[in-house]
Amino acid sequence: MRKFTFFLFGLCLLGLQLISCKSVNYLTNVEANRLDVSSESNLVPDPAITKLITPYKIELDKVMNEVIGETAIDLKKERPESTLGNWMADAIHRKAEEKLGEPIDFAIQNYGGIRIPVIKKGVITRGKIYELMPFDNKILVLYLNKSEVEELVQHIVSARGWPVSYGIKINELTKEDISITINEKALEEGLIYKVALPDYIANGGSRSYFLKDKKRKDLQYFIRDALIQDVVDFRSKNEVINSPKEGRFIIVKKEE
Amino acid sequence: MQRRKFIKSVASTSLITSLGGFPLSAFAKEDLIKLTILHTNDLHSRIEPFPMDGSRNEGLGGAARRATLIQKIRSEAEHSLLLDAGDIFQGTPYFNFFLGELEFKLMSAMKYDAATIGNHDFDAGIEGLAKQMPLANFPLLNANYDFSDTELNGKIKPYKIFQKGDLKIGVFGVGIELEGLVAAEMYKNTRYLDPLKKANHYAKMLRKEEKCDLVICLSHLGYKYRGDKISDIVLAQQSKNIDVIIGGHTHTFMKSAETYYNLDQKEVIVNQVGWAGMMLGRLDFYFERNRKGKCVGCGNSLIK
Repeated sequence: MRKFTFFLFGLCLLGLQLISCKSVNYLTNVEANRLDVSSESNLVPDPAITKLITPYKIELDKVMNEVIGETAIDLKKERPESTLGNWMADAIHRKAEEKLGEPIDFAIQNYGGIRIPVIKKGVITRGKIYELMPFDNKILVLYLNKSEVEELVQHIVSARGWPVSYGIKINELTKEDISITINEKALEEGLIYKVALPDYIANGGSRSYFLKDKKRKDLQYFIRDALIQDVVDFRSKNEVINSPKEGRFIIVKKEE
Repeated sequence: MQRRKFIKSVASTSLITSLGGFPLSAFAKEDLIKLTILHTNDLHSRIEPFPMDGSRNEGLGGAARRATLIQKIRSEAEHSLLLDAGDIFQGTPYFNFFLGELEFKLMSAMKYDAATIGNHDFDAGIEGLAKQMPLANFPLLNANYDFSDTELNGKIKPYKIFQKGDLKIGVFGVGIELEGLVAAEMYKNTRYLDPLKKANHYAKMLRKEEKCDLVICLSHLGYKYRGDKISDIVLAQQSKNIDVIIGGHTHTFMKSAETYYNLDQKEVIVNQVGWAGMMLGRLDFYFERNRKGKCVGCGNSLIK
């Protein structure tokens, strides 16, 4: 760069005015800062920007603040089993069956995909479900044989437990011995199990690489939409959500 | 909570780098040109501040407050550019419901000069992005996606040159590999081309042919990875003619801008400011106005 400039400069001196001698500005110093954008940084919101946002916010708040159902208990996110996880996995199970038009064996939801710690006892707004599941993950059904189900269960046990739906019971008796039952029966060779789960997991997310090439059906159904529909369905039957822990998923306490 | 504390403590000592090498006082005022680059990345539809719900980021961010900050700096700056490194879309119901409309309107109102395309900017599909583009009064720059068989054909330029006083600034964009990251039905026939090759091609062009005083790469490649996957750091080290890489994708809260040496042993500045507009990045560049063909303050480290 510098040499190049010297060269150009030289040409100028020689009076070869055929090319334009643009002077070069040299970068000599840089200051780097990062600035907080927060309520404590004394920044008054720009009224023009607020004005742009307002009509969208009003429209959104109308939809998001709508009460769509109710829960009888605090739905809490915990591992390995939780009230929030049980409801979510059950809802995915129910909605996957409706969409597929036939029974499935169980559903799972990855723990990291649950984006809020709790839905408090009482009414549930649509906005709460958007907070719970902001991303557009879809429900997929995977077709797995016995050893593939075992591999999947092993994976979620080593992640210290993800939400699983009714239909499956996982009991880690010892490090080496995990009891799995589906609809009260042990896994059988030769059977194919239908498992509903987020496309994110089926496509290898959360280190679930082994699922990437498994046979699947994309239900084209956002998990968030399924959850909202499940809440609405409870309400239309005059019911409230109640999903206590019931021993679906037991893991050995870590001895540390 | 730890994270918030950390951010606050860093921000309170807001001048992170000192001026390296040559004291600026050695120059007469007319010898120096100052350019202020403001930048964001991974805004993720965070229009309003995070809600006050006891979560880690509560009260942080917000477009209206960011606009005030930008305006204040701009009004005091000699020359400035406002840039974004992609993932403008996705993350709040504003995107789910209005599909990026408000995000682009706000960035236009804030007078962004350019942005690049992140993987989440495909989340309403390629036609979704194409549909919102008329609302963006700033170019989306990308040099390594071939959109010729998509609805974005002809709508995305690889670079843009900005003239600010006597300064000529070249800005181009590079994006991450989409396969496995974005559903194929979203990005359709977009072809991913080698970002390193394309970056070097356009940087050379901007430097040698267009004679830009500063070459900026807006990158949605990510800060760094295990292994040799292309990242901002790999790009910095394996490039020529790039002065600054403004990054995104990995949501990295860099304590300060970093410098790496490129293939010509020249410094490349890499910076990224987290996500969701919780912070605004600011880089002030000082140029020695050239009159005699010789740089007095050169040869020193840009950032100390």
